[in-house]
Amino acid sequence: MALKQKPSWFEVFYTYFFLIIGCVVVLFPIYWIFTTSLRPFDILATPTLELWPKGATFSNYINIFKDPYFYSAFTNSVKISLLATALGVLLATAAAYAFSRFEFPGKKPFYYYYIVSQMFPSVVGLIPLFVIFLRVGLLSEKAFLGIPLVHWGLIIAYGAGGLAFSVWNMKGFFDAIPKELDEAAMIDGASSWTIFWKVTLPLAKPGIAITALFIFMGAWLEFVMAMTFMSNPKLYTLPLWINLSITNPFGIPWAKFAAASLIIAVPVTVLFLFLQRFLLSGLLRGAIK
Amino acid sequence: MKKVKEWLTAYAFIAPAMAAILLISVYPLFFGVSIAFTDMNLFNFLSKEYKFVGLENFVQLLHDPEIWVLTYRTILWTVINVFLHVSLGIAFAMLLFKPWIKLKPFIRLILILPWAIPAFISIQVWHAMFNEQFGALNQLLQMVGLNPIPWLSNPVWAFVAVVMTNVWLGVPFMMMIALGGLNSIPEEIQEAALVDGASPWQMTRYIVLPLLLRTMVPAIVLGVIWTFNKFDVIYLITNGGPQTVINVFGEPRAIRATEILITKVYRTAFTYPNSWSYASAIGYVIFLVLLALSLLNMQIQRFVKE
Repeated sequence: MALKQKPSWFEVFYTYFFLIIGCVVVLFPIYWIFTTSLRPFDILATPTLELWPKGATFSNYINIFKDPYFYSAFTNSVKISLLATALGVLLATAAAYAFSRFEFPGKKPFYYYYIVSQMFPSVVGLIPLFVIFLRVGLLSEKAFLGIPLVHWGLIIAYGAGGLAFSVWNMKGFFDAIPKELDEAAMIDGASSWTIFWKVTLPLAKPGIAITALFIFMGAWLEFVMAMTFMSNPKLYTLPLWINLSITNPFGIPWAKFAAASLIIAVPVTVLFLFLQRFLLSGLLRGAIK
Repeated sequence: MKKVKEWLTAYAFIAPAMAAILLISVYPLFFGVSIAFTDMNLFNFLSKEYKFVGLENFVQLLHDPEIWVLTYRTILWTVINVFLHVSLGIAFAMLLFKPWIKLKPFIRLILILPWAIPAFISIQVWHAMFNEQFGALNQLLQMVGLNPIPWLSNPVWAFVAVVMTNVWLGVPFMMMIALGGLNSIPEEIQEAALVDGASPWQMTRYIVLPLLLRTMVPAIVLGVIWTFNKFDVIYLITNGGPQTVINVFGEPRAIRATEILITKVYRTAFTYPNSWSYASAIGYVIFLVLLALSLLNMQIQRFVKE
């Protein structure tokens, strides 16, 4: 058709020209952080831009785990994110199932709440949450089940804080599973719980995995709440460790910072690239409906 | 009867999640409102000596010239960012949408990277790149024979720096939304316009852009709300600084050059001498204004549709 006619050479030129510029602007910071992470010397920063560092080495990636503060931040982050994910998935799955399958008073108000909660600045919500956690002792460093209470506070806040989004997102996955399956099971005399557990849940596994990954990624690099709740570097999570190293007044440990950033970011980025279409559909379902 | 049973089953399923939302999100939301009507801060909270002060915080807010400067700057920050996000997002989406582009999935993958990389990490990498001595940007400038730029110590450049970072972060999201929008424009409309003799420019200007912008309205509204309350970029890169002197109503005042309302809320609440109550008051005013704006927008959209 007419739309598919051959482009002029000028159109070809400017199209590729701007696309390449866009790609260069996107890739430059990534390229810079990668080459920085390969530098053999930690403290000696070069005042000129090296296209490829002399004596490039991967040793920073291994040595970083020998830094006790990085290592503890890494384990703290893994622990907190995993527990928050477990909590969030458990709560969100059950609720999303009800929102997808049943009609009940209160369904609409929840939808409005979801919209409003997207608009509420999280920094503002942090103030009352801080006061409440301070009052109930969830900011203390005392351990409960081997985990400091302040970490439990973060686990609860990360797991339950984004619930409105998780429920809304997961409802979409349940909606995609045909209701006829439930009805068939009901005719066979199965209870709601059995239907949920034996019929719907196994089919919703991909949706559950995706919701879990979103909660995990949200918790993995959250820094505002972590920074506000914690002052002891031994309890720090990864973002706080990074923040500490990049604002070090005695000289930024460039290579360490770069290697750590890549270790932290690459797995999450790859996951995100797989998940982005689910995020978009969830967001837009909320915005358009 | 059957209906009631269905309700009860549903409530059993949602009860744990609702309890968590009530405790962690809804209760704090209302508790935060009540804080705004007291004089609470860390010290009088611990000694339990805080008291109800009525509308005092809100009155103080209206009479605080700094708030007005920050409101103006927050609006400027939002308009610049959202304009660049949307226009660059649409531009790249249109370039990428051309059917004859080679390696399209590959280019698309690169262009959405800033959206995929955890924001915290990219912000810190930009923060490092703005370093005046060892940062990549000044090294690049010097390599091509230009003078280094005082990125984080000059008030204007600091603002440019945070805008640059936020634009880098935000364009891919709008590009994805615009690509979705372009996909939803029926080809027949464009073909009909071609038959009527429309030039490519006319087609873009009068057919594609208006249709595209209409599908993007919800995303743009979200973008405005997110940008208005964008905390991480400014906090991590400049922490609101550097300090600068601005004339407010004829009086010179020391104000941080890249502070916006939301970073002011955080600073008021969590740095010495802190005031949870005043910070809450500012925060809830922001929230109400944004809520009113988006309700207004919903009404307008409904009106346009009918």
